[in-house]
Amino acid sequence: MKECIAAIATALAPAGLGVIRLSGRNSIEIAAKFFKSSNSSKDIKLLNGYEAAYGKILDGDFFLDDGVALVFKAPCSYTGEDVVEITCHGGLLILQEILNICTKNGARLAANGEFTKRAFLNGKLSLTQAEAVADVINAESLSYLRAVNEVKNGILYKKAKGISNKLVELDGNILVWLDYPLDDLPDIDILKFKDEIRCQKLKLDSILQNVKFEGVLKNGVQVALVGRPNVGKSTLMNLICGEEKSIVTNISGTTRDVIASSVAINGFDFKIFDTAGITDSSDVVERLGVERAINKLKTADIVLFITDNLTKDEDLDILKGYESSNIILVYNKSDLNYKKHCFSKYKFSEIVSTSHNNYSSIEKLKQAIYNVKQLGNINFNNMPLILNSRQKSSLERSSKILENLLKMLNSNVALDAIGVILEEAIDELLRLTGEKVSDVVLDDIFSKFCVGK
Amino acid sequence: MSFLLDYADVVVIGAGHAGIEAAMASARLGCKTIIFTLSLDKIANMPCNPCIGGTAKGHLVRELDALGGLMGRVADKTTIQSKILNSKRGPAVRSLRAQIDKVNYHLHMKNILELQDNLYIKQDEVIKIDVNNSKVCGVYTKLDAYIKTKAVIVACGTYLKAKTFIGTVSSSSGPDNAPAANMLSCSFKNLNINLRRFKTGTPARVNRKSIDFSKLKIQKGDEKIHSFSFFEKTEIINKIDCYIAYTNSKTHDVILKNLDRSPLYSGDIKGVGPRYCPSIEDKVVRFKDRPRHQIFVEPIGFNTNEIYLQGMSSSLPLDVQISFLKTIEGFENIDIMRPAYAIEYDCCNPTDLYPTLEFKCVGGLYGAGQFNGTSGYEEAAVQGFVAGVNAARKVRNLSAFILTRASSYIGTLIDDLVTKGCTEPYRIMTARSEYRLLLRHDNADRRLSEIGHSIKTLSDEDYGIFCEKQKLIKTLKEGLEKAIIRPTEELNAKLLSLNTSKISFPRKFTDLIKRPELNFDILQEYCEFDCKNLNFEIKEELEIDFKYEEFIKSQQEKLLKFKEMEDEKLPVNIDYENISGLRKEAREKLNAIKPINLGQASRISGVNPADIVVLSVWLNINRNCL
Repeated sequence: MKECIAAIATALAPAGLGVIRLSGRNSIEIAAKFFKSSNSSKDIKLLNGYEAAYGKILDGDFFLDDGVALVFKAPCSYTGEDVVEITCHGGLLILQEILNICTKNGARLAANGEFTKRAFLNGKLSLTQAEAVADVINAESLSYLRAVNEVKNGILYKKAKGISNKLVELDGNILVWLDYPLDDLPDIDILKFKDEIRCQKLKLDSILQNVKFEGVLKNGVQVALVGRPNVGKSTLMNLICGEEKSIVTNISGTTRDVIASSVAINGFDFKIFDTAGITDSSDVVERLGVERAINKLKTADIVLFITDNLTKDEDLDILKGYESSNIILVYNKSDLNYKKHCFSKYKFSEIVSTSHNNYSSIEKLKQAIYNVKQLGNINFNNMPLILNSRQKSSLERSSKILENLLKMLNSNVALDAIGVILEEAIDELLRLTGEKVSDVVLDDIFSKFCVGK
Repeated sequence: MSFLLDYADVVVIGAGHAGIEAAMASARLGCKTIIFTLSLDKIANMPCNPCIGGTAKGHLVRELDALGGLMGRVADKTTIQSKILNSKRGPAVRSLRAQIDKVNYHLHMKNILELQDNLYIKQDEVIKIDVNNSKVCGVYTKLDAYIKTKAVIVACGTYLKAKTFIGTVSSSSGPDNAPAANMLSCSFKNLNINLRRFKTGTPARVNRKSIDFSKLKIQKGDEKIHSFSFFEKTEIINKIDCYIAYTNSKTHDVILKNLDRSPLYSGDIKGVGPRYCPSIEDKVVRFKDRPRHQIFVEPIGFNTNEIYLQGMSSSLPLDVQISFLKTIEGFENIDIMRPAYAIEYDCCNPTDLYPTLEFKCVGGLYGAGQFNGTSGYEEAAVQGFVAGVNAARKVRNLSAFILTRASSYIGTLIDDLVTKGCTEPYRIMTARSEYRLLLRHDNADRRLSEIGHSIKTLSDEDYGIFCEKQKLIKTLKEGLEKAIIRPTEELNAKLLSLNTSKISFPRKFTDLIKRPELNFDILQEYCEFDCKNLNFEIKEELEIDFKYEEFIKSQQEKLLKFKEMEDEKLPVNIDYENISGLRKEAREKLNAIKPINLGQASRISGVNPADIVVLSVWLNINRNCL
């Protein structure tokens, strides 16, 4: 069986359910690492083909979603390999997150049409079907080319190239030192080498940081309004967005599902989500609403934690585990002139007082939302446009390899092994440009060193 | 008018390092083999360095030995100084390098060829290759002899239309003043095989008595001496010392002042030289800020005063050579016996070859060694072996013998040559292998001896030695994997003195040995499993296996992926022009290289991953009709 690949199998559009598919060597083991069946006798590693288990999808200890895993055993599957299909609760962000977990655990992102290609290679398709697949793949080769060409002209190329050039130079230093032990070359200065690696890793990470901005530009910043029932979330949402999207009553628990709207602030797109008030209600519908609110809270870029005169310290518990730098504390109903509770445990990004009859306070809130993500700092000229998730995952892998490399250097691993690992990092970067690592490194050696008999 | 001299299964042109391995392999596989040399006195000649091995090259020699080749055994018998390189820099790149007695090596090799059954040595010059229906059928010699044959291996080194340069004096001559082979090139042209010009060079040989050694730094051989051969253990002793000298600014001034008298700079030499083996004038020009360059002063034999000056190859005129050498400390009274020279020669483009080293356009015609665009005795020898085995197997209707990149440096070298080609003389380096943590010199037998035995180049007797050793290693490994080291005061004192942390509870031997500060010899004292009386080479092999366990595992995973691609065979008669979806550049490259599997196709420059996908899909649709 070939290496495990993973992809989102359903259309990339908002839907009630979504499916992630893994296929290939160890696909069941990989899925078992993050999918925990609620019934331990139904651990997916123990399942037969065509059997399913209900369970939790975890990112480490962090609960992401619940769902159903369906296991297929080779050769009885679409691809003819071991396959796991995980059905979960839609939401592109959740699906994307689960896909990230798959790759973290050893799967590779599938190329376009790769499942079908495997199905075809394993004799699961008829010749006509196969030819159709071939056409698709031919088309893919064109789009690959276009992508590479675009990368080559873009800022990403320049940046990735700059980093890989430096890494190639570092690798060249090691290789020539290893291959020409008799020449009087200077020894490798490990401290300096480590610094250089660290510096290149930072550069990579800053490109990846910009990728996050890119997501923001494409999909908008996700802002969730969270708080106890009846603190005025829906009113605020309607005020921020300037439209009556949420139903507003003074009955606690009016909002039972996540309600979305959007607003432009300083030219940027913000998606605002009104959620059900967090409460221990025994009402089934309300409880489901609360669960969704918590999920929204976890995936949002920014959280507005709305409080009023009745909010207490323990209400803050729902924010546990959430990055506090992305939370804005809102004292709503400021017209009541209540004593503002000081939530000293938390360091909020901003604190704003609002009232439904004070329009300028709403404007202040909007500005605060805008400020959290420091969108004003995006330099559009410098922003490398990441073209697809495969390229992003190349950058991520490269950064990860460098991180391991630094660990290895700290434990004094010999340089022959370091060189090999460094080449893996370079290889990942060169994927973006279509070059081959061995050619690049050797050229560098000969242009820089005076070696040989 | 030519006469029919003889019939042979395989004819080998040239008795250098490639030719002799080719001829020996073919003869030992039962093929009647004739080997031609311009002079019997030049068999296995070392016209450059009197040395075998070095980084990656030492790996090649070990690999060749593991397969049953000759070079390692004969090197062991004629070594005058032996050294392991990189003993501290990294276990995977450690390699053996031995100074060799040049004359002795030649005599040994010549005698081995003379004694070999099925092998006939002829002093004559092959001037034409006879081809019928795109298949080799014979060769013509200068003395009008015609030999009928099924396979020809071209291993003519740097002799084809060779031209040497010493300053402005150039002559039609091979290395060491041997005659050049001027006729054969034309035969290749008639076969539509393109040749090109490469260039290399060698330094002066000087008389030992003219050097003041008190001013030089001495270089001793190793105390613990390794041998190249896994099977035939020769007792090796260091018979000589080597020395190091340095150029200085005066040397560089002399060279720079006389650059216009170098044929390299005047444009007389058109061949492409190796960047990794620059002449001294190249070094001085390209690396202006280097205050000095190193010179290795190496005797070329035990019974001679001739000394080789590694690092000083040059094409400058003799008077300039004398004056720049005299500026060097210790060389004030230097006496040059043979001057340095540059040599230019014809060679083929190795992308015209299959990985068996057979020409794509002429069946039964093989190339090996410097003729294929490589440099170095070791690179030549391994190609000779591969070409010899393949020629013999083809004559006997057996399958092709191809080593993969993942198996060996031999496989890496040949794959590089036939897939990527070379634009300068190709030298093997550890940097060329992506599997270099697996391809070590200590485990070459483990990697290749099974194969050597199965193709019958490794004798049953040697294979027996191999099996014994593997059995021993297996037992030792199992024992050591279970072995426990208990904390004692003595041990902890030792650990602290070596700058590593002490232990407070019993630890596995295999865990402790992973610490960079520790090695086998230190730990064996505290180990409950008795391993004190082991041969040091076996200890080294085990130690690296344990220390690098994690990296070895990850490289083996990479290897699995590699194998998937190598297993997708591509027939060589595919016309890539007819495959829709491939880009134009990819079609052209694929048609030129004719890769034998998807893996090789993916390594061709100009073939991108999308082309490979197209190709694999096409392959699956058409598998049944190919």
